Amino acid sequence: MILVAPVAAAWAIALIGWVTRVRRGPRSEGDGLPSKRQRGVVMALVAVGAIAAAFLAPVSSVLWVVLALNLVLGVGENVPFSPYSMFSMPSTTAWALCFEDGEGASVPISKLGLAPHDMRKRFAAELRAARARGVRDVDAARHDAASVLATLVEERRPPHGPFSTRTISIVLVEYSLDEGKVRQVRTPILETSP
Amino acid sequence: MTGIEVPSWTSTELDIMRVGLGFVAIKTFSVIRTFRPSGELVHPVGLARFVDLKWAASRAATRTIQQGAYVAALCLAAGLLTSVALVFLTAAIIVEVTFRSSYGAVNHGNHLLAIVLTAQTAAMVVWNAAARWDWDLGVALAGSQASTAAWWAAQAIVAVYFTSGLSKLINTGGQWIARAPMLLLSAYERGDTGGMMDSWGQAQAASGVRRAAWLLDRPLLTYCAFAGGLLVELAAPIGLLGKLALAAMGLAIIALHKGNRMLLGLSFPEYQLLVLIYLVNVPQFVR
Repeated sequence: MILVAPVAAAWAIALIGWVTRVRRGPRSEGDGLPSKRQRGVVMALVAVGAIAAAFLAPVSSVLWVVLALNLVLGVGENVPFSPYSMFSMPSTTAWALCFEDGEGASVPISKLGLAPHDMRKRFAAELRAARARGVRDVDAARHDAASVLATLVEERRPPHGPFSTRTISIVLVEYSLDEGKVRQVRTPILETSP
Repeated sequence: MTGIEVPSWTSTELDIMRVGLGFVAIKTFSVIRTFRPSGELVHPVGLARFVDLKWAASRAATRTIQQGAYVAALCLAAGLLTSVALVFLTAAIIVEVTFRSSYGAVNHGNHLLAIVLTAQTAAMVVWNAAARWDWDLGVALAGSQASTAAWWAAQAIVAVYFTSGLSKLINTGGQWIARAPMLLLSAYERGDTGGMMDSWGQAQAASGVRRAAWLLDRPLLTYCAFAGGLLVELAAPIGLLGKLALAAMGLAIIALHKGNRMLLGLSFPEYQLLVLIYLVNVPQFVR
């Protein structure tokens, strides 16, 4: 019961949410999404429920304690706890960062020791930091964030070989869904050279 | 009363789990030098908010962590100094993941190993304390230290997948399945980032983009694929009802990872290995 009831409740919420959303039809990207505060309250309630379950069923107490810690300590990404929220808020838009040479060809930055997805996450973190500093202009915030990545690229640029002298452009590519088809918008942010 | 019992693992099964965990630790620590950041920890998380982990960027520190982890993993696999090995590996993985995640790019690739090692270390400490001071912790502990460690590890793994499923419901107000096809845009994003990888990465990304385009034309199939994945995550606790339920849930989770690899280009190989070791527990079928 202590295992089946939460699973059944979660399944019911997932399936009812699916059916009601499909019936109502999509309106806008933010339509129906809970606020940060609402999400926090629900997480806290689930964590309290998990702690109660740990006392009710000590044999599975580790499951409930880890769940509670993931929802409380994990929110601040306090390793080893995490709410594992990647892909939890699907959006109608997506974006990528491309590193290109002067002729528009992709630069394999992984060969410079820079993981493309880490660079993308770093860009997002620097964007948030720029906004926190009060930079309201989108282009200025993007430029500031890309400058940090450009510094990383220059630090790792090899002294010899094809990438030692080439100009490298950082390009933001945004994707959106338009009647089931993917649209792309490319915005060059800055260029870096040795 | 709850219908849940700690599975009765044989000593061979427990030995193989221990060896498997040692293997996953070696596999994880063998690649920690790749893409290592340096300089100030610009966006500290967890432990790094309180302790300066800059020292972990140095080549000497990296080599020490790595070689220490190899020795500890071998000791764990061999059943020598298990307690010391577990404590070292737990500390090393927490420091390593915290350090790498403190540069603005939180990386979840090793979180499952970190939580499994933490659960095993906690099980070892609690078991020893209970034995020393005659604590009666009832059914929270299994019949032996090794069984308790394996049971706590299995519960921690189940908790991770259940948390992931609940986060999707909480963050979308229960509408995750209806919104999930939008995740196919991530395949396009990965197509472009794949262009910055080696030729294998480029080929993988290109096939991911083709599959995403194919699925975008078939919305019902897309809904069903993502719904299946979420329902598997949310059903994870059912695995704790017994060894066979645990194995069935483990296989479903591995299938989920295979699907994620196909649709989104995400594989999480260490996650799959740990699920195979603690949930599927292959030796139980080889008698």
